[in-house]
Amino acid sequence: MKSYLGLIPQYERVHRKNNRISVLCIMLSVCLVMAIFSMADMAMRSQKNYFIKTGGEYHAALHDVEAETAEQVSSRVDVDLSGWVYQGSTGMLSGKAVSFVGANEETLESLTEMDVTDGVYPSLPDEALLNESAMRQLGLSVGDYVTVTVPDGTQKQYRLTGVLADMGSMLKADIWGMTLCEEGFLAIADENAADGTTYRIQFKNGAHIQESIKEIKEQFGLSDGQISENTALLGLMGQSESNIMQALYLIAAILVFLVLIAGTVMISASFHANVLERTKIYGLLRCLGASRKQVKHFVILQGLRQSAKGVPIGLLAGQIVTWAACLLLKSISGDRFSEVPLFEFSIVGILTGIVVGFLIVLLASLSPAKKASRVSPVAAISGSSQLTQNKRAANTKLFHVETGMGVFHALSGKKNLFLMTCSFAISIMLFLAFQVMVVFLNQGMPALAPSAGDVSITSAMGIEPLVIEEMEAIEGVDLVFGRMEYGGLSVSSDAETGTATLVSYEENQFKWAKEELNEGNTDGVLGGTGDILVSYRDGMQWKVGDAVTLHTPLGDKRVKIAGILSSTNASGEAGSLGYIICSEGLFVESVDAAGYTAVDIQLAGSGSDETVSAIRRLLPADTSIADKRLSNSESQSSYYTGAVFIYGFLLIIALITIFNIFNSMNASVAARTRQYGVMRSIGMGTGQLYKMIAAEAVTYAALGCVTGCIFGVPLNKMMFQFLIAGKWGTSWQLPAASLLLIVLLCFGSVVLAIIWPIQKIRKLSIVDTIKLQQ
Amino acid sequence: MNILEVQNLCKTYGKGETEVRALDNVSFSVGKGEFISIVGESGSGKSTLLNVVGALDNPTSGEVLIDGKDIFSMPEKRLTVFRRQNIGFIFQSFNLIPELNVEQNITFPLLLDYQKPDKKYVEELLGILGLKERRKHLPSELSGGQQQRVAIGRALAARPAIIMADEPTGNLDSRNSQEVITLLKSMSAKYRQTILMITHNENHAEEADRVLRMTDGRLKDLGVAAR
Ligand SMILES: Nc1ncnc2c1ncn2[C@@H]1O[C@H](COP(=O)(O)OP(=O)(O)OP(=O)(O)O)[C@@H](O)[C@H]1O
Ligand SMILES: [Mg+2]
Repeated sequence: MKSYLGLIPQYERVHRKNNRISVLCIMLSVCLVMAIFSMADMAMRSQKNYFIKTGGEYHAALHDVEAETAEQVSSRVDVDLSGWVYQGSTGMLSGKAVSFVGANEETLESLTEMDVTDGVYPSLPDEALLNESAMRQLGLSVGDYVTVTVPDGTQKQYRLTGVLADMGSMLKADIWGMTLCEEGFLAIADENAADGTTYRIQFKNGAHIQESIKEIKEQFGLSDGQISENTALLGLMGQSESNIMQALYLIAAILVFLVLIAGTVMISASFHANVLERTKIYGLLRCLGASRKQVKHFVILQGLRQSAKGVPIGLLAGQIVTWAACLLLKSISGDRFSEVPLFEFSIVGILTGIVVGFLIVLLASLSPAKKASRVSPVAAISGSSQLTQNKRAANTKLFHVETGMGVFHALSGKKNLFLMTCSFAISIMLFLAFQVMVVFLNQGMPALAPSAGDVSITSAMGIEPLVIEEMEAIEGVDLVFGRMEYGGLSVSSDAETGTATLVSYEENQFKWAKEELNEGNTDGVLGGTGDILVSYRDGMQWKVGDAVTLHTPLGDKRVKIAGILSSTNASGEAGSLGYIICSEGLFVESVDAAGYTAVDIQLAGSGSDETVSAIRRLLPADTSIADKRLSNSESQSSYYTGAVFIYGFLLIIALITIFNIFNSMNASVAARTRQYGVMRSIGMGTGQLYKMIAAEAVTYAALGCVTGCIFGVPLNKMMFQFLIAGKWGTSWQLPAASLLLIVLLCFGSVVLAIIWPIQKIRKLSIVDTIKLQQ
Repeated sequence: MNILEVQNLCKTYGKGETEVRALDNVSFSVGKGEFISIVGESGSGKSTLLNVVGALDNPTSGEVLIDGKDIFSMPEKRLTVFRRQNIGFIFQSFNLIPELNVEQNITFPLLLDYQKPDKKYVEELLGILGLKERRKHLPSELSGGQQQRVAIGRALAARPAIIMADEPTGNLDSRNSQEVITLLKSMSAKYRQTILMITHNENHAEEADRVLRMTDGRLKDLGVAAR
């Protein structure tokens, strides 16, 4: 040993097991904190990629501005890229609407959602790109010529120089897209072009975008409507001033704070366990003549050595957890989650991991040092076996003695009690906070409804039931279901009178409608002709059981309201009294229907293009056929990304909870091993020992749950009001199910946490436990 | 009838080179109300004997009958209850429960048995032990001698068949030591309490009814101490 600090490795060698547990705690905390931050980072990146893919990587857009203004903006030092995106004019090609876009190559590739998949970019006014599915449906290839009706009604011939990637929004609207060079667009532009045209700006990295936008606005005297920001993208870059984004930032800050506290509490709790033992060695050092400063050095070095071991492993583990989450998403579907980054590092995650690992360990290990300097050196080494000097005796009157002592053990150590209560409470608070994120996810990026069609057909003329049967026969079609709709039906009842849209459902749709039912039931509606369902609207007077008269073209009909639905999937406009859903039988009795107004088709698997073409062939050319496959899968992937990360966080929080409780209980039992041995020698049975430790644990859990709820529920409510109530008008409700789940989880982990140490004590012989060094 | 019967008790620690025969065929018996002291060199196996006879530890072979019952044939649960009711322990290092006050510590074995402590008996014990004024004090507020007296009270509380005392005076000065020995002796006489006590002090050993000597794991009955 060269200096007194050489004692540290020696000390660690003797207390190898304690040392290993401390390192493990550090490792786990670092892993969890890092995983949370890295996963959040990855989720943001994948959302950012998604927004860039579906909206283009522009930060702000100018509308209705002079070319001169655009010129000046583009020469600003903080502007990286900018360019005109001309849109808004439409033409016709083979009986279908074609939407024109004009831009130069760089602008199209960087500042819009559009991509060129094949060929070269048009450079002459009579050259164009056409979207992939249009090329396929028309049997065209690169180099061919097409004749298009341009906005002024004349015919114009274009040479196709390349292929434009399909976009979900285009397929869904059942239109085609054509991209021209700037010159080409300006040649055909009509008055609609002014509305759709924007000058898009991408700022340089590190620019203060909000300030720049303000400057540009002032400099050119632009109105609010003339400059808009790409809210979603700026939001993810932390550069948005929109309300919802500000609310999200605030919530992110709260979550970060809670996660950091959870990490701190976890490490502190694990360190607190060997405080007594450490206090002794520091006291001994002081006894032998070490100054306070030397003791401090000793402590800091000891903490750093443990961090040095725990932090790298923790970082590695956190990285693996993050990559595993990304891989999980990729494995669900590689194309859908193409925006999820794979094997990338998150600087934020790594930094927070390191900070948590080192800083908190120091904070946690300074407390024994403080304690050591406070108690007299003699007291520290004479070693009373007590964790704390008790001021009063345990209450053995209220419960059986073992229960009473267990509760007393829990309540007597102030710091221990605080740490344990905090571990439980913070877990509950975190859980409740993230619960809001789950609600947000479900509201903001809803998963696809079971009734959502891959292809939706609407036809004012009506589609005959025969066609539906034909469609069902096509290979690759899973389900076909139609609705007949009749708008402006006048309806009267005692409570309300007005118009409604009558919609017919068939078997499948009634089955799905059950999920949407607010009140009543759907059973009688499908078969009979006397019952109807109505859609919910604000201020509705109707109740389940009310009688309503339908004044239909085929005579008046008196029907009963059997149920109220929260939403419907009708395609037509609602009447003043919303929608009325009835069976096909009732509809036909009421309206002289020509056929289905809307037909939804679900494909087996994701369905192939051939299937969609086969469907097209069955229908007259003027039917609108919306191919929703791409847009459905886009919204699905947003949901899944959100779900995997948010549920991932919840899982990590649950793990923190379990680990924290596990670790703290273990430590608490370990600290009293000798005392338990003494009690057993006097005749305490294993069952009683179990009860005593359980009473201690349950006391922590109960206090923690109460504290957690006291702070967590208002937090939940506040976050809910910030994030959800304002946007969707949903009113806050006590998240009873989540609350129950986390409370059960807490108590469940308590049970797990005490089994192990008790088994350990049982295995130790009583003689050995009593002989243990105090 | 003998309250304690020990037959061919053996206890071996370790194996091969490091084997230690802590108890080597020990047999002896104790009648009710006897006050026995056990003496011997350090490491001769005294504590081991007491722990095995008190059912805190298992022997390698041999039998221990307390009140006619073979204690090692009992399942663990029954043994715990049996020990709680029939064997009291007094340790060198007191081993009181720090969270409980004097009175609670004394009645602790009864509380573990879910019995209501006999108020009169507890009062009497407190009186004899000289702890009446200290009944609400915590162990940390007592002197060593007082703590050991509480431990004696605890051992007596359940009126066990035997009390095992392992160097009860080891941590006390001579005046307190003498007090503890006198107390044990009077208890033995007053309640016909059987006591097995290990001691290093020849004078204390001589105060017992009978002295047993351990040498390298073997026991020799020295008989009634020569006065
Ligand atoms: N757990 C153990 N493992 C191995 N050997 C042990 C163990 N416990 C005791 N021994 C050995 O058994 C022998 C008897 O020990 P014991 O504690 O009974 O001695 P003792 O007579 O009580 O001594 P002292 O008067 O110093 O208390 C000793 O040689 C000791 O080294
Ligand atoms: Mg001994």
